[in-house]
Amino acid sequence: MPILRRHGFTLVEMMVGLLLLGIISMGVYKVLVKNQQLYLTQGQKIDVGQNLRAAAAILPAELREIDAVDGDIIGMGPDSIRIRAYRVFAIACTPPVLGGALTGLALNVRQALTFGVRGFQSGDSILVYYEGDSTKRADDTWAQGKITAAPTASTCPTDLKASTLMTVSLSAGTWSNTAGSMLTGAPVRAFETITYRNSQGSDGNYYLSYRNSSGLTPLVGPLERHGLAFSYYDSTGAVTAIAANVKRIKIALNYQSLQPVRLSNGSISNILQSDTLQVTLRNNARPLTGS
Amino acid sequence: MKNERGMALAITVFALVVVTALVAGTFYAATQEQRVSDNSRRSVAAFGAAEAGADDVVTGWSPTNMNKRGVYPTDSFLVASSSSMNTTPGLGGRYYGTVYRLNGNLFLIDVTGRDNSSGTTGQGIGAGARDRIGTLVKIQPINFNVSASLTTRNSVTLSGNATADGTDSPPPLWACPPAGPALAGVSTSSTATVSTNGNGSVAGNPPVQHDTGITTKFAGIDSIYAQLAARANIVLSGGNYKTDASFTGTACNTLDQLNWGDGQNTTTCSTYFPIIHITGNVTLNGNQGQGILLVDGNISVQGSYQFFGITMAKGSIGSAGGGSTAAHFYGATMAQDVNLSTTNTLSGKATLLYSNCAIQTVMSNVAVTSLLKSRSWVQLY
Repeated sequence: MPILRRHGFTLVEMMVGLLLLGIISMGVYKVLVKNQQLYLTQGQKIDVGQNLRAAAAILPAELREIDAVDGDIIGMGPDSIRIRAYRVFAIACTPPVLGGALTGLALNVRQALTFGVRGFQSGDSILVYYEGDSTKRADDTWAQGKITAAPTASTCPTDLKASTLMTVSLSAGTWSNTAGSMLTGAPVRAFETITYRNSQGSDGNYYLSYRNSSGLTPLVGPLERHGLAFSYYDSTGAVTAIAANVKRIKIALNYQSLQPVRLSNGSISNILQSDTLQVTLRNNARPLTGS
Repeated sequence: MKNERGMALAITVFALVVVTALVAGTFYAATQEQRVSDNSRRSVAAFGAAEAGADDVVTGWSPTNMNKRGVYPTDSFLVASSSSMNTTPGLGGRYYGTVYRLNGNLFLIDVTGRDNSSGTTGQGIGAGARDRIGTLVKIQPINFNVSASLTTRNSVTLSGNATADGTDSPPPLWACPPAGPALAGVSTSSTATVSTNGNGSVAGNPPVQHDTGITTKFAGIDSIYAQLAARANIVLSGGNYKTDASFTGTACNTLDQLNWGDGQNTTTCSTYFPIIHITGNVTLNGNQGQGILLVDGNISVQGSYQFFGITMAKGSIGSAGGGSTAAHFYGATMAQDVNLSTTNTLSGKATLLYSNCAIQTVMSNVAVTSLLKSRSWVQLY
């Protein structure tokens, strides 16, 4: 038999070959499909995890600094909360001079001791520490006001260090408008009023959003339709409906993935994950001891 | 054999590549997730360390060191530097920061916390989380409402060489600002009498003040008394004591219950201002003390005893003798029921002198700090 004799495959050889190829291809296809599903699922899971961490970083940071006793919770409901969110903190080198009109007051703050997510802006609401009688603790409070003109760069009068000069107006409160009641070195805080709630975005999904004077901004999500719940507790740990009594806030969040994925049990649905955060308010007014 | 056809190798290689890519992808995702989670954990730990650090600064507040600091920007107090951090009390992290005095009684504690792994070795190289927070604290003011050298509800008799003087008199060797306005020599109720015999005298502006609100005033003083007694460094039962500065080597021995500081300002005990609470009648017979003296009963002072600061007695105050020194009490003296007389044969002076400087110095050295009444906590960036 010549070695180089040309010959083809027999039908049986072809069929066996095709069958084998089919089985292998099917296997490879299944692996690829699984791979794709796994990839999608992992991607969605990671997204949900990212959301979870983002909310866990943002919400407690905002809520921690409020003083419920002095009215920093403006409104609270089971699925939304309206608060004063602190944005800038600074130390005055020239405090507002009291004893006269409460408008057009000069407030000069040190740049070196200014901390915040942004600078002071015209229109910001502010709180200025009111010392009153410096030997008494009972009359210490914060006077509320507003920045009425754009802040300008300046210097502190005594040491000529860089400062920010603002024109502010104060609104009368429980404090007395007496000369010398606000001291050099008084802390100043700027805040904006914002609402955190679950609201529907333009894509139809629900997002943890905040609303401030410039509108509604989606922050973290998507969440489930009723995926945001606040619970409020007082200092004894009991649930309270009175804003001034709130000492601790519990936030329950139910996240869902943006896209549905095939779950391990074969069904197709969104990945759901829930998270609970607890925040103790750091700045509540303390009961008085002594004068 | 030349008949080497087939796809087994190709398919195997392809499958291996696919599987490897899958495994590598999963590992990558898992590693990333693990890193992100680790960062979250560190960031929480750093925040905890910052809070613990800020609390640590408040609880470890040393009035003698902190309350005399200059106001920002001329002075500040370094709690710990970033290259040599303090460990938090629970050992869960480390912190560093600075305390700034904002004005006479306000301080800003600026603390940065770091988690334990963010060190200079091992896993933490170049990484690590930090969180910076601030707390506002105030030196807790105590308002004695001092209006006289001697404030009492009862009649006062000054005889021998006894004097109650409302002129502001800085103690000798104390660094004091210029003397302030004079107060009354004796402030007492509208019905009580102040009489002088022999060389006894009352001086001040006015020498004697009859205060119709004296009972209300003592009600206020009582609550301050209770607060101070709760913070007393030295608690003794009634008795006869001789107190003076004592030392361990050259350092002031503050463990000695009979060391009430050095008001004559010649030793290391001159910066020690204890709050002394005596739960009965006391007789003091030499040598000296400073700070706040709280006596549940009567005080009787013998010889040349000197006390610098604030003296409050629930009972009466009496003195005898005077030795060679010029005064018995610098500061302010308050007694709810008083009979002051010198009945001995010594020619020294049993004198009560008002001293604003002594009062202020003592108060700033015993005053503890507390967080502001509200909104004392601030996130710094």
